Amino acid sequence: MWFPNAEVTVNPALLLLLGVMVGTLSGFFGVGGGFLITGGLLVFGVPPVFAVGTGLALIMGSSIINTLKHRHLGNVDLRLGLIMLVGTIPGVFFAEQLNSTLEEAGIIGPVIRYVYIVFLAVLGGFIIYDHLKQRRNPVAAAGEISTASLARRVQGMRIPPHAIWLPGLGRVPTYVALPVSGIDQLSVFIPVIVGFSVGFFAGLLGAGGGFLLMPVLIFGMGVPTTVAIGTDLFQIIVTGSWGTFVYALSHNVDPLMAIIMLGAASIGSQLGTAATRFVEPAKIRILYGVTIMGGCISVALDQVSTYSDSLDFLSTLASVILLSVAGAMCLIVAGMMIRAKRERKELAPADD
Amino acid sequence: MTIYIAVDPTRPRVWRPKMNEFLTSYSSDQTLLWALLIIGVVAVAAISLHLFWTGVFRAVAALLGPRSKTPGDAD
Repeated sequence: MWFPNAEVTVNPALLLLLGVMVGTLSGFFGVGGGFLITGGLLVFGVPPVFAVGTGLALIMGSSIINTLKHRHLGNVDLRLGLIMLVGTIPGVFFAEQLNSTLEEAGIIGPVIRYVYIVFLAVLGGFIIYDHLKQRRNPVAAAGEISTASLARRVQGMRIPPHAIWLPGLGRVPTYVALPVSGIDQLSVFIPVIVGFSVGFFAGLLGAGGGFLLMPVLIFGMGVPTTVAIGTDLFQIIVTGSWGTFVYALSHNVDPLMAIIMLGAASIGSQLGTAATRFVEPAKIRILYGVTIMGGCISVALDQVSTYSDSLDFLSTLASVILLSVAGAMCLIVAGMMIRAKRERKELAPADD
Repeated sequence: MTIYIAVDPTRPRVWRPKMNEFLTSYSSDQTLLWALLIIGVVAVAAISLHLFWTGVFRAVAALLGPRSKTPGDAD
């Protein structure tokens, strides 16, 4: 099938397959899946700039579908999401300024890749470490994260000013209750700072930022895993829309390709979001950690491929690894959901 | 102006070249409107797909619901 904007012919069956994978993983992990889409489209022969632009359009669309679905399941903390947006938007703008400076210096490509690799390695490594630590600790409460005490300390932080004056509202306290996240009181400055940091790195790396926000919400702020997934997706709508708009302004989005993949992603979304109801949060986290490590290896191989022309094959290998990890994860998610559903069905008569 | 009957397989289909022309020319002529159009189309498509699947699942649940509420299941 010919795509006039990207000026490339791509087999629509491959796009549908990629769309289903992105929708499933996005709904299950609460991430946009930018690294997966871009890698996949590059393998299909789509020009790099169109792969990023069209990927962002798909991220935006699939995060809208997944947020609506997670909201229906009570997994979106709108209050927390809106407070974080206060920081996310300026964060993205600051990152764009830095991007322009790095571009002028001619070092934007390697810098972004190295930052990306470090982030993915640290995040993936930490999540896997947390899982192993919790498995070895029989005293820990079931499903509790290793940073539970840190999260409690963050929730208990008192940051001045404790009240601010707002026109029309008078003096307003700077602490909010987040009942959906199970947080009694939290300084608004914490989610604003988190939003700013995530927006900054999302803008710098050209990603939706979901892969960063999800673990920060869980391990840093103590938000339950399923709520972190839903709230994260809500944030990605904003960062994804902004990215789509910027890339569309420079004619680097192929809407036909994005819509075809979005149709398929909506099917995957149903599976991914439904699976969060059946799979234990600890299992969601470890699968996420493994996926992140797969992404890290893929980006690292891609970087190594730039060192010499003879290493070009590593770039293709990187995308193949990424697609294989994503495909395997989708199958595991489907398998786990079916198993958990069957176990619940078997336990149901005993409960009665 | 040439009008083709869409169902006639012997005649060329004019919609695809016209759509391609629209997609390429509009994106370069009306940059801001094009960007807004893409955002709008993706958002509307996403919401429509969500509503579609919600409707499908409700219909399936309505069809399967009464069957699962048999006296045997209630026990």
